[in-house]
Amino acid sequence: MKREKKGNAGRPGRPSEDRRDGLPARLEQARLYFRGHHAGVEPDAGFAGRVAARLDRPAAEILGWAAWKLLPATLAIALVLAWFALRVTPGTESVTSVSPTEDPVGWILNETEATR
Amino acid sequence: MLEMDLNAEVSVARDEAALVAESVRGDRDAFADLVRLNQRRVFRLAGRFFRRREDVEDVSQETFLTAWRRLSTYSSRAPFEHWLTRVCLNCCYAALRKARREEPAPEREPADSRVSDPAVALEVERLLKNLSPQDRFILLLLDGEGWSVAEIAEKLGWTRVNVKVRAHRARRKLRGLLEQPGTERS
Repeated sequence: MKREKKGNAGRPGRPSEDRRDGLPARLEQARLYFRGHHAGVEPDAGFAGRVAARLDRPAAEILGWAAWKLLPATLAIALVLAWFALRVTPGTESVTSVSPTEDPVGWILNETEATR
Repeated sequence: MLEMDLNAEVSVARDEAALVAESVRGDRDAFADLVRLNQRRVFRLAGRFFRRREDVEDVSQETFLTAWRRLSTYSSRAPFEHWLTRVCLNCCYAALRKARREEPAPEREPADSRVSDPAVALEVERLLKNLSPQDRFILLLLDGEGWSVAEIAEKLGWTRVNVKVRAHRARRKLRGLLEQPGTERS
């Protein structure tokens, strides 16, 4: 005569067995879940436009675009520099009209002596 | 009737081929038309892996931007749809992995109406989040899209053996999760 094991003997079912028994059903439910796992989202009318706006542009086109955009600033800087250069540089008249001496070497030597 | 459908399909394919050729030459308007022609397909596929609208939109945009950048690698011998599907799947895979690394706050997903018991549906949702992106990806393709191993291999450019091994691992992990205590039906 076989002795029945103590513990879960006689009970409707052990937890581990329950889990194993229910496993195919849970697997099937998981499979159903995967099948139904979908956002169901549709693209709106502006989607293609948004993508097109993000497309890379050719390098030459980017350079051209940047040059065009920077043109006013470039012109302004050029004008300011030109004005500044004209202001600080002595005119050609003043340079040619000044003749320090007939003897440039002597004049230079005198000037260096004077500055000491 | 069948002939008319066939003619329409041929016409679309021809239009698509022309749009692809113009896009390769850098025509952005042609590419925008190409996006319009394929956007629903890409959204449908991306929607399989992401639930939130902004995530689906982001991945779909990324798919088309990648396609634009790599259009020169497309060989016209294969249908454009197949090539775009592969690009989309790779973008989804990358986004899933990134999302896993960043670990965002768990989003509240609606319970699936196909699963009769809402408690079980929620439990499976929780379970799905515990799967790695790789496992989740392959299970969604197998059970979600209903693709065969051969189809997945073809669409992703993986070997069949690779797909089989990944599928086997994913199923084993899924089974292990379902057997864990706390996943029982109450």
